[in-house]
Amino acid sequence: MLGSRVDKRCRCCFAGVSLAAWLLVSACTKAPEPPHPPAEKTPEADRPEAVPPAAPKASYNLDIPTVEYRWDQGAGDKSVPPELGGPGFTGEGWQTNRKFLAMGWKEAPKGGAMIQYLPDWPATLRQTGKDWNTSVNYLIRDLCYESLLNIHPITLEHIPNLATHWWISPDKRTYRFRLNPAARWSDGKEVTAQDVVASFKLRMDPTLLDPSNIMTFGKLETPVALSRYMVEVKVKEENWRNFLYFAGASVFPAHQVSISGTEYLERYQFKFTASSGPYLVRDEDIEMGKSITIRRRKDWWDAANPAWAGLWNLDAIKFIIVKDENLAFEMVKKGEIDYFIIPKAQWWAEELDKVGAVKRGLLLKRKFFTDAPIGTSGIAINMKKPPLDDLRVRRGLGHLLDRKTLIQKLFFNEYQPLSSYYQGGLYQNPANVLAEYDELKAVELLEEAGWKEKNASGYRVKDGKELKFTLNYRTPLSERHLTVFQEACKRAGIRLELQYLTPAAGWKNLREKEFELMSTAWGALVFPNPETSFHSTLADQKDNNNVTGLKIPRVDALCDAYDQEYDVKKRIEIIREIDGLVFNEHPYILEWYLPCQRVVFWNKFGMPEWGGLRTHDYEALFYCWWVDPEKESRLEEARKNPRSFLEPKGEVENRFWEAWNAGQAAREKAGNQATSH
Amino acid sequence: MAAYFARRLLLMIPTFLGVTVIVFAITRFVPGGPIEQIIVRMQMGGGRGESAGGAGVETSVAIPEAVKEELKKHFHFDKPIWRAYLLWLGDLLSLNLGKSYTYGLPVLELIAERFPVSIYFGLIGYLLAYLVCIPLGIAKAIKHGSAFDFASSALVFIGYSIPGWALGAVLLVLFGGGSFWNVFPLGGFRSASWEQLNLFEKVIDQLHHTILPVFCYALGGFATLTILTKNSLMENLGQDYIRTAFAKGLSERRVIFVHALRNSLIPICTGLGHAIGLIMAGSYLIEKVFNIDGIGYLGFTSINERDFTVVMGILVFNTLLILLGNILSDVLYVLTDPRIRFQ
Amino acid sequence: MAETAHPSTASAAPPLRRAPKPLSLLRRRWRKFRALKRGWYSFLILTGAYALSFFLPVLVNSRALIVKCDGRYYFPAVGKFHEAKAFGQRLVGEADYRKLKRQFEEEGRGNWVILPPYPYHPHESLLTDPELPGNPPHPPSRRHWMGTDDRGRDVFARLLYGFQISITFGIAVVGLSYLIGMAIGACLGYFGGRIDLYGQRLVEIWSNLPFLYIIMIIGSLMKPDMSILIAILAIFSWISISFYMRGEFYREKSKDYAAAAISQGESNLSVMFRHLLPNGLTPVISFAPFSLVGAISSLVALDFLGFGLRPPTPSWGELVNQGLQNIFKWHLVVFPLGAMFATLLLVVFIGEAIREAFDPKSHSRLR
Repeated sequence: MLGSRVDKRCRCCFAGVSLAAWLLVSACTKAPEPPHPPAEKTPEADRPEAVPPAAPKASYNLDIPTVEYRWDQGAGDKSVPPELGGPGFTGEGWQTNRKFLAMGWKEAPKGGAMIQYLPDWPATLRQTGKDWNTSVNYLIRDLCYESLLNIHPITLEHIPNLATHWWISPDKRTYRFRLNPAARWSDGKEVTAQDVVASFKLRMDPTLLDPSNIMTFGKLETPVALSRYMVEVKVKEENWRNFLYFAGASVFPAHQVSISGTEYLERYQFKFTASSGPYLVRDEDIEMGKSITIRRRKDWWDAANPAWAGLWNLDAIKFIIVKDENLAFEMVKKGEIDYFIIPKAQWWAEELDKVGAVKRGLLLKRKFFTDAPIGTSGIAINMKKPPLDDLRVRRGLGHLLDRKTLIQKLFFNEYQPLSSYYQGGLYQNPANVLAEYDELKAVELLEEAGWKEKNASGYRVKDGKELKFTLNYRTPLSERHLTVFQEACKRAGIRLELQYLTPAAGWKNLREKEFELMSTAWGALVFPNPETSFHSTLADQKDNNNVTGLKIPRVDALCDAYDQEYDVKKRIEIIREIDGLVFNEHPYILEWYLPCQRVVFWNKFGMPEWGGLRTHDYEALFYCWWVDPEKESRLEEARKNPRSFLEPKGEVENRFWEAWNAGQAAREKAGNQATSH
Repeated sequence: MAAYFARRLLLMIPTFLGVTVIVFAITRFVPGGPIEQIIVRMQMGGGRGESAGGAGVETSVAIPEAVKEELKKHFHFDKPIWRAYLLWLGDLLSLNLGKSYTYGLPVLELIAERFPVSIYFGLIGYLLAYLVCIPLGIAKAIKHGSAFDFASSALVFIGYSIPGWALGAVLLVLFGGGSFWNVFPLGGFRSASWEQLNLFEKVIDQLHHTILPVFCYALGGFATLTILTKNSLMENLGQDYIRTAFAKGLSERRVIFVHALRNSLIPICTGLGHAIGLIMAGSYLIEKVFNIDGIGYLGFTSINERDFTVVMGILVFNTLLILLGNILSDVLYVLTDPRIRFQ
Repeated sequence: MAETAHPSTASAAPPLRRAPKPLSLLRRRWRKFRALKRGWYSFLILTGAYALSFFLPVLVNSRALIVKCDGRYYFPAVGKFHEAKAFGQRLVGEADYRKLKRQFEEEGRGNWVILPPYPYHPHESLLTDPELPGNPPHPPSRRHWMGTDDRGRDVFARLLYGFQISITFGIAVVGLSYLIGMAIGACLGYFGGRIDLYGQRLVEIWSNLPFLYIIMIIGSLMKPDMSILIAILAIFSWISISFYMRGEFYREKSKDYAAAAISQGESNLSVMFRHLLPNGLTPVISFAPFSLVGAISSLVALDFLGFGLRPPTPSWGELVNQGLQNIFKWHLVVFPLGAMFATLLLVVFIGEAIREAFDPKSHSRLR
């Protein structure tokens, strides 16, 4: 459900592999024509370069109401004693979280539909096993399945879901969860501790062909059902992340998944097990290769809980398959798709403003500045290949990428240069100084490193060897900015050869450290995990994410400390220090990022003041949206009359969370001062 | 001659085996095989999975050996290549093409679903090309060197220099209703509401969805076919038998359409046989642009994703069609030109 | 069959001319070719343009032709690399000659720079050029006749350099693949029987191999350069022409003149090349122009998939691809496709003229 998405969303996805993905952050194929008529442009497009996070234009009501999570203390099988979670269980000595910030607007009407698009039919619709991790399956997991606990998408604290209470032993090696006896599967059966055990066993079955499961959950012992409503799990080593993952794993019905991995793969490839969440996919809602519809359940067991008021309002979310992005964009303009993520800066800055429906206010442009974690895109430098082991050479390369010009000229100032491996959030080290574009400085560094001589073609030589690197990239789109980098390298006396590799081949070379320079884009986590990318034990091994061969002893020590640290504030400090250390080692030539969620949608949706929840990205923004019947009928009218306008169009930028964060910081400061006095 | 063709049919077997053996071997050695694909997909998160999202859980550490073994077993990569091939061949003889690595569905089912779509567009496209190009080629041959000849050449060459899918993209923008005129649907094979339509509406709906893609399918073929018809006819028109026919006092019409044309169609007939394979091949990019689920798209994505069972399945179909097409070509040769004798 | 026109009859006739016969035949064809104005002019234009393209470094280049600086002369366009520092420019790497020209003019110390007529290099991204405000692709202007591409490189310069590369590529691929295809097709058609049967099997096997695979494998094992791409494309594109050649040879061989030549005891090679080939050339001549454009299109496709000539090579494939990516930037669509279309038309006209010149009959059309 809600929370699990946030925490299980993992880092080190490799967006360079998926073309569509790569577009959004780092490359955009379309480029603009020059003298734009300024009159036609929106204020955003005309913004000066390198925009600092501007002060919010609109004033927001930052008071998010608090809601209460309710559970029925008397529910459940009377034969289970209260101390094992049966009726009368009080939760004494256990942890829970009953009061938290609201996630939806409680008056939100239910109903309506939203049509989105998918570029490919997913390989499977299963919820685990080989190939399951596609974006649509994540969405289905969020909406149709539930886990023991949720992560609150604003505060990132644990909140109840299937389990009402949880307990961590003093040695932090045993976790217990107490399930809500009211929880039901969509086929009417009770959700019990056995379901948790069966789901775990299924995930650990190697014939599921999903090694990531085994690597994640292999750090835990098989859980034990203490009773119908209580489950216990022991961990093999202390690490706060184990709790996060176990509590966040979606639970499947034991009566359907107590089968071998092979059988599960076979049976549920394009078929759903019973689920317990607020949405459901029926067999008839799957049109192979064409569409899939996720429908809201009227009989969800926890529908009446005020904690979820205003969430999950849409009756149906339909995904249609459109293979070509340009075609999908046309379908958006025509109104056949309701909600669309704008993948290219040029579309946002130039194309959209030419669209009639946008001019008339029927199709709305919106940028949501949420705190969704920002991935890292850049050129990985393999430090194992001399002379890239020389920090001066790496720094020199860093000074040759003209981010400012590229962002301005190629990407319409839509992006901002990355200056951290944990950009944008609390974890970013504010002391990192971006290596600005400076060819003279680069040359100075290269000469310092001994590359002084030049041959007849103008390339640097040392001991008869030319200064020459191969830069691999895996999407033809990145070629656009890489050739500009190539020119800068040439001026500085570096021969840079660009070579395309297929995504799979490139990925293999990357993981086996068989490259010199490679264009990459990594995903980000709400809860960072630095060990997997920066720990030195991985530097000399193959097949891991420390692809650059980074070795910093202090980072290793910090990584170990991080895993043992349950205090979020201290964890933030640790990550900041790691960020600073890694940044100064220059294992990547960092590129740029999109600081917001950039979408268009037809003007029929209502949403809370905050637009989408704080840590949500475009794939989850609409969880708290609804179809406004009044807007919908006005839209219908307006579509019939091509001269009509829908006013007002509203602010394009929603910076609620920036304002909210600032407010929080001020409140905290005030709180600190109050205590110190 | 019957013996010749019987032998040809028998000789399809070694060719077929040769092709499948080589491609099967390639599937074993091409980098980024299905196991790596799985690992990549696991690590990157699919679809729109973005730098900001989407990967699986912890995939940082090396994949455990046990899982790798399991994967190898699943894809028969644990067996020596010849055994794996024989297993595949054995399955093929019982008409089992295996299951798609990606979708887990029977390959035969995947192909069977897309086959009618590809055949539909392919056949109509070819029909259109022949209907346009043969008359055009004849007219050009008769009026060789005229302004008409020049202008029509220019036209078909423009068609030839513009890739069909690029034109498709432009046509969809112009006539799809998203940006300019709402004349045609935005891609797809049929409307979503197809099932609710009556027969007449179904025909209209199908045609409505057919016009743009078929035009783009056929466009590239216009030039070659037209020029081939023209050149072939012109060569025949210069032959002695034509002179003889004229000398006998036959009408120009009769000479051209009865005497010359039959002979000029010989090279075109060869093309017809080979075209059978092409009809099936479809076009990845046109199918992508028009959002059509055809063999071309399946074939390309399966190669890209190393879905080798599907690759082999399509290969089987394509090879058989091409081989039969070659034989058909020879039959057509004999039928159109009695002087040819196959021994 | 056309006795009078056939070379074999000419050889049977008493030698009237002293010149060796094949030459006279060629010369006759050449004369006829020149007489066909449309083809002849097309030929002149195309070969002229191709020859001219070898002088591009002095016509279209950002490197100056001559620099006179403090009494010394430099020839950067044809000579070696000069550091910006050598001319007192505070820049990294090679001198910026356009800037240098302005600088010298401002200084007025008697130093001067002569730039090529079109002073832009096809690899240059003019992103920071003060004369090009706004975002690329820029529309055509006085300085940039065909505008710039998606990263601010001059389209005209890229098109010209690309012309040379594409034509070279196309000719090499067509030449090589036709050589292979004609040889194999001719052998199969001429000898027939067992050779044909076994040969056809091998051709069929070959033709069924998925081309994309091979490219992917090679692309992941090595860095494909132009000659490798040519070789790969050629060995995968000879098949259709071999089918046609085989058909033609089958047909021609069954004609009387072939039987006559064979019965006169001419060797197989002689019959094949001197008698059958000239009469079986129709498909070759008809398809050659298309194959040339087909080869260029294949390069487009390979570039699209990322397996083409390596960036920043100014190939036409890359240019056409940019047009397709930026379908509403008319100059990126029109100019590359227009160039391809014009080249194709010229090649086809040449092809038609060659065909007619090769046609032994003087009246190959009615009226």
